Amino acid sequence: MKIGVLAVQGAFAEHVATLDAIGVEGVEVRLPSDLEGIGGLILPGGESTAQRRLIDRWGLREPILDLARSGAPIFGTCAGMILLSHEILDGDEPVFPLLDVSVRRNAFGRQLDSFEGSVAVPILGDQVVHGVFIRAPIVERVGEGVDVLARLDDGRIVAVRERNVIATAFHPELAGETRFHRLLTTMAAEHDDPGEGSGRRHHPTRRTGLAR
Amino acid sequence: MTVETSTWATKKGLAQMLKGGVIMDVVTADQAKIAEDAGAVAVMALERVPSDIRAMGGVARMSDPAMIEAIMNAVTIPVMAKARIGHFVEAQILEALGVDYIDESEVLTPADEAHHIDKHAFKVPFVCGCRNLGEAIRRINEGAAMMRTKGEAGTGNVVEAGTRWCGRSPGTVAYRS
Repeated sequence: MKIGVLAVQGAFAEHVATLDAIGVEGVEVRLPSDLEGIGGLILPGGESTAQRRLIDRWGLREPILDLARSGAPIFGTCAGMILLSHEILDGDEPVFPLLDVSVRRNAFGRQLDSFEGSVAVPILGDQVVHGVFIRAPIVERVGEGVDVLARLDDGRIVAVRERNVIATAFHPELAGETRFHRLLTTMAAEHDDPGEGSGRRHHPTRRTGLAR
Repeated sequence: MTVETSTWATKKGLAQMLKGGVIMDVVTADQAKIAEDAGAVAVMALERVPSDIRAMGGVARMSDPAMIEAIMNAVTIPVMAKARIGHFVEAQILEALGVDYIDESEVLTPADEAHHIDKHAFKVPFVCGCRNLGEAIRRINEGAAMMRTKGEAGTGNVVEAGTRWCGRSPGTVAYRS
């Protein structure tokens, strides 16, 4: 099982290292041909304004949308969450409108407001996730069919899932957190080879106790 | 949920998000907007670009706070600004303005020949220039969260900077944090 990591700009090396830590081969994706043979894709943190230009420059938009439409799991962190949203609230056009959510960029303020803290993510179990939020976005609206995976104490939404697409406002890859990458890999394996008994098995994110 | 701001992880984390991107020198809000639209990951707010500073001579200081603020209001990407080496009061002013990164820069006239700013004492992260591994480690020890190469400021001579990065300079080795 190979997982692609979009490597046009940003913290892609950290995601490849996290995949390596769980024994999964990470493939840096810079050209459409790099998407061949991968079971899922990670959109890393970085500057979404820069990433969107490079995605179009190298013709990656349609191939990545095709991959997502095929059912392969997609995981976006921070800038990746912005790229996956239907609506970006300060005016930019959507890039991969796969999540029926509205996000606000830099929702917490400037770098001086960047923070870290623990976030409860029930689908990953009782152990909280240590979230690193760097000039992070926030989800201000979720559509029907979007599961809220995590909220801050004040109720603001910081992790969501819709079908095969997951996004977090924070950076698990900067905190040694591997469970999101394990989840993505499990989803990719099931997409790749549903296998015997898959009809009886619940989808890995279909657990009760979502943070809605 | 206990929340901590301005931790080492958040300081270093912003540098990690900027990797593979271009940080562009700008002197006006209009230029900052052009840089953002062209795909820059951050802008460096300067009163004059280094070649002009060099041409004009004299003492080069921190930029006008009003100009930095205008640039911060014009773009959504991170805004960095330069303080003189060792000039912690300039750094305090930049922190109060709320810039996203401070460059303690050799492009400006040094305020202290021997001592750099104690960067651990600040909430805002710092980037510093280095010529070799030893210099890099000293700056990191002082609290710098990002390192860049030092060329000959304002000359356009990129051989200097390139040589450092490729490890051909004595004492420079591949460095991973």
